[in-house]
Amino acid sequence: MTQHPIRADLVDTHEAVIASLGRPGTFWTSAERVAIAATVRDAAGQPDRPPWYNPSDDRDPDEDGDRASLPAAAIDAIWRLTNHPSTVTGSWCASTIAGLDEPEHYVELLGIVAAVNAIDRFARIVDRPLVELPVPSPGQPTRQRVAGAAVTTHWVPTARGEFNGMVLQSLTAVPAAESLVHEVVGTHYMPIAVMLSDWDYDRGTLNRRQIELIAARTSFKNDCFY
Amino acid sequence: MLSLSGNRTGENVDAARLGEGAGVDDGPLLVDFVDRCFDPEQPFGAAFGELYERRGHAFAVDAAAVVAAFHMMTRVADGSGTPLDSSLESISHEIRAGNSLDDMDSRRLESELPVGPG
Repeated sequence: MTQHPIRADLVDTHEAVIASLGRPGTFWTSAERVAIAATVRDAAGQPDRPPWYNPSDDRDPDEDGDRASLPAAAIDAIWRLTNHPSTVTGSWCASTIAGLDEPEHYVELLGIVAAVNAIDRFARIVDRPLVELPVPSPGQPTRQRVAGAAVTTHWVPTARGEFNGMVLQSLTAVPAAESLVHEVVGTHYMPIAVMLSDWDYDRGTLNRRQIELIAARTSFKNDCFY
Repeated sequence: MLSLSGNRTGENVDAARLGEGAGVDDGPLLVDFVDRCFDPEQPFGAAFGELYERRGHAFAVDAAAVVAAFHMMTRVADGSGTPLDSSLESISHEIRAGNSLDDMDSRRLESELPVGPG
């Protein structure tokens, strides 16, 4: 098979999203964000581990480096969300959040885990190298909270504002995490602005029904009833 | 969204037959592509290479991109407890029944979920 170039906006998104992890986030430092992405890759390399496996139990007490900066609850959550997202429950989510400082830590982590899973999955499907993780830059998280964010419809706090569907609503308590996912959605699926309005949307290849069939089948293969 | 996209454009889409391609153009080919993307026995790039040979590079890249996007969206939905809102709940009954979606781990009661050995 000839190696043609990949669509430029996809490549740009992959590079921009991964590069953004090297900068301080809202609740996690840059080193922690890069460690979250690295841990996604650790987990994805061992998909046969059962859902109840907690990798933090196997942690080397003398471990150093960026991964050592992550709390046990974060490590276990990254593995569970990467390999067995369909087994996540409300009580598991509550217990994970209790092991982190604040619910927003979990929301930001969820956005990073989900986005890195997407980017790495794409690379594996097309058999290209994974995007190299960045060197963390200095600085502190902004810890900027969204006024009025509260637990109402989801297990995590969400904020009012522009509504783009219940799934994307999940990350509204941490706008930077929401932006990360929006960027991937916009280039890989379709621009959010047309999602609920242009039922004939296409990129000149797949038509809208074909896009939705792939989306639905992928959700099915991930055991996601939503 | 699959049903809605068919309904809104007047095309005959049957999301309850997801595994058979739902009546979408190239449906069985696309379902096979997705299934192979998640088959651990398949070498990286195999499913993509076959779709590329049959429908061209741009088509295969766009299909891979949608798979990647929903590999992400499923994690956001399951990881956040995204609920089906009432309108989606009511219009998706037939689709859920046709594809046994209510039997999925993510739909079952918490007490039924695996907690580990012992």
